[in-house]
Amino acid sequence: MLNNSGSLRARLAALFGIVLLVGGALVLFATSNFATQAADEAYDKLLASAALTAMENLSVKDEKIAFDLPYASLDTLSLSENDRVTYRLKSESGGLLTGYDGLPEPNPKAMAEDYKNGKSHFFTAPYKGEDFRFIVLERLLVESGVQEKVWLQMGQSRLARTLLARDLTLKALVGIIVLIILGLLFVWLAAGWSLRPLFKVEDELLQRQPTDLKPLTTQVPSEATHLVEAINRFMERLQRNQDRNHAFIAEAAHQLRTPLASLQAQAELAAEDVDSEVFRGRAERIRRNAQETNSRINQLLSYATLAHRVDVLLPEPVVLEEVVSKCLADLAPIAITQDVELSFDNAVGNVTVTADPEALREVLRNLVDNALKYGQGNASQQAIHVSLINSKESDWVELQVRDFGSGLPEELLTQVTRRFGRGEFRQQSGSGLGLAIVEQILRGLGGKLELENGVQGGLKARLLLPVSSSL
Amino acid sequence: MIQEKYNRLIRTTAITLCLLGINFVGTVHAAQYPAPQPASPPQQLQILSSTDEGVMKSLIADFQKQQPSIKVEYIDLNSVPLFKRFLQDYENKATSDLIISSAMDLQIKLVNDGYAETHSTELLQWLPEWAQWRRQAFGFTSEPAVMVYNKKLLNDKDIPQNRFELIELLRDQTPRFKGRIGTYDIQRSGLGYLFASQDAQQASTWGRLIENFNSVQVKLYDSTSQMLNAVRSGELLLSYNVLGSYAFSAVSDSDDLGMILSGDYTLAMSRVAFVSKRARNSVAGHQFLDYLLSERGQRLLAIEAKLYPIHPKVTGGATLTGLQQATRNRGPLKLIKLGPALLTYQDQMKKENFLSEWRKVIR
Repeated sequence: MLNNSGSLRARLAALFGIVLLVGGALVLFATSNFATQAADEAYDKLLASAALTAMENLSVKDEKIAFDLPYASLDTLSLSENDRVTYRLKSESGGLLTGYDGLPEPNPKAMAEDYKNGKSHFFTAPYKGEDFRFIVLERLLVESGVQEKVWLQMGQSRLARTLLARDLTLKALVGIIVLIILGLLFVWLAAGWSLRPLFKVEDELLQRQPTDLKPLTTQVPSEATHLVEAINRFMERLQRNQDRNHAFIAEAAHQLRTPLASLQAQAELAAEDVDSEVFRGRAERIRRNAQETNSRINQLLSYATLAHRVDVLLPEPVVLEEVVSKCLADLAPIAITQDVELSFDNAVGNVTVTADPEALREVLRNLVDNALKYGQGNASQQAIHVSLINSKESDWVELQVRDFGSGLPEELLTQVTRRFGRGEFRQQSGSGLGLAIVEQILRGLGGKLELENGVQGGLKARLLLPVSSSL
Repeated sequence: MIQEKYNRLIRTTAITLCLLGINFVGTVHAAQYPAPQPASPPQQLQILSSTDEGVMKSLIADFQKQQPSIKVEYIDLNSVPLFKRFLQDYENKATSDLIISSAMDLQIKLVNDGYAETHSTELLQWLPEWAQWRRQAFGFTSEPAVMVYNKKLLNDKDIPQNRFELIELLRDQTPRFKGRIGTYDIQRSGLGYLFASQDAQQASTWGRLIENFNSVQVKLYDSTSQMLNAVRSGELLLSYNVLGSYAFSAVSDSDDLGMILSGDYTLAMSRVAFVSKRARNSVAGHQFLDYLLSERGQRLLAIEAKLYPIHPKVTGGATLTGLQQATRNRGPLKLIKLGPALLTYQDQMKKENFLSEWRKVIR
């Protein structure tokens, strides 16, 4: 089982859940404010009606203010069941006429403002250990003997209002909670639905034959196309690898079968021969055949090693000169035995490239090897020149290996580096095998191989490598 | 000899001091009920009540069967002095634990003004809505205002069945009833004022009634027991707005007394109890309130005190269920609802007007 970094679904649900909770809290806050306001409006009407009923019974009798508090007034207030009540009647000159003493005073400015707008004045204030809602009504009495302002202030505790507001808020809360649950459920289902194409991809992959590396055909949403493309590219590489391995095995079988058959035939003939001169000739041929076979086996193994390396290159910064000179030093003894002059020229100094040093060495060895083997026939001079020069393009460096032999026919110049196919592999048996590997490795390192015939004859192999910018 | 004399002197002094002490306690009418099984920190419940101590005796004793560690002190005052005493105690930081009064309006005023503690109504699912306010004031009785008459002096045909008949009777036979009709002095009795104000509130008969009371030179009394005595003795022919609970006992004890539930409407008041916010022992106060409203306490209120308890499972003559049966075919039963509307007639101007009207008419 792969380690995973949590479920996408859970992530979406958590994220959406937070959004819903924050939104829900905001809505709840707003609702609670609204509910308080609504409860106040509703119960203010009750308070106003009680006060107005009482105001009806305010009159002037015998040149004195008379007030007969009607039963209905306080009875109206008892509609909000458990609320305490208080009231007072106050006149401009006489002070408290009746009712409770010590009621909180209204703000005269706010009161005057409300009266100017034709509204009753309401306010909330603490009274006897509880918050009370008050109304103040004003009446100007102008009758015989009396000419003054009278205020009736009536108040009621806020229990019923708080209860109503809480009730409204609670109902809203239930709605909000249901909404959050539905939202989360929706996200859960939607996430499942959106992820379904991925499950389809999974199904398609699981149901495939082990050898089936064709690209995926499942239709996926745009967000998942990159994933599918990556899978498809990966499968393509896998397919290529597999093809190469198949080709290699077939080629190896073929390459080895022919010389071994020939060896067997020579040996059989030799066994029948009695003439010692002919026998020696045969033995010589057997030796050459064995040598040839040995060299092919070496080449094949070298190819197998490198071909594997192409897929697992381990690039690191390397100083090109060091790699080249070390490799050439290894090859020098072989060149000397063949009487070939091997020279190295560095025109760029300390250049660093990002490459797998082992692969790079193998590439150079291959090229020099080829030049030794095939570049000395009809050569104008028995020499191999290796040189490091600046490329025409900046940020590139060029490693040249040239010999002075007969070169390659034009039509082969491009062919030899082409990727392996059975046919080509056979055609180039021997000479071409190395170049194809070289080309592949270079491509893996981000470089390229160009082959051309020199003006003075011979083959010029140019390796182009990107210069590492960080150093 | 000398020793004996000396001893006698001491004894006499002790008795004298004791008597003085009793007298001193007697001025505030406080009755002591020692705890049957005193607890180590002694527990005391103080009840301030306008209900006669004699009526409550058996209830307190029964309560102490349930709570044997509680000593009960019962202070018996009329409703108006009770109201004043409570406020005075409250100012002095500590009051009695449970306040019981028949002056519903005064009790509601105290609760409205924030002097009461909230009581848990968990055990009181049966309690009707009119019998409680704010879960602080609880009415535990429902006692009718009735007319009581002297059976020997009033013929059957003269017995008024409702207020209209009473008005008619007084108008038609003014000389006969002169000085022989009694009612509460509403200026002195809180309960009388409550009944009168409710009468004035309920019906238009009130004005005509007091005019006729005046024409027969109505006699005014401070208490129901005085009125009952006057009717029993024949001094009065009929008394109006007598408290039904006391009348019920008196009528069943005496062959001379009759009781009428007025047919136009029958008012019924509640004794209201609340636990003070500044109680010395509020726990005991709540316990006694729970006891008063329990089926056991209510049953005892019906049997022993005849105070018309309101519990639906308690039946009999002096109960709310009995009262409802008795009035079913006579006329509406008007239970005075606990609530802020009761404050109306406590308004200074309103009260002053109401009483001055009364004084104007009743001279």
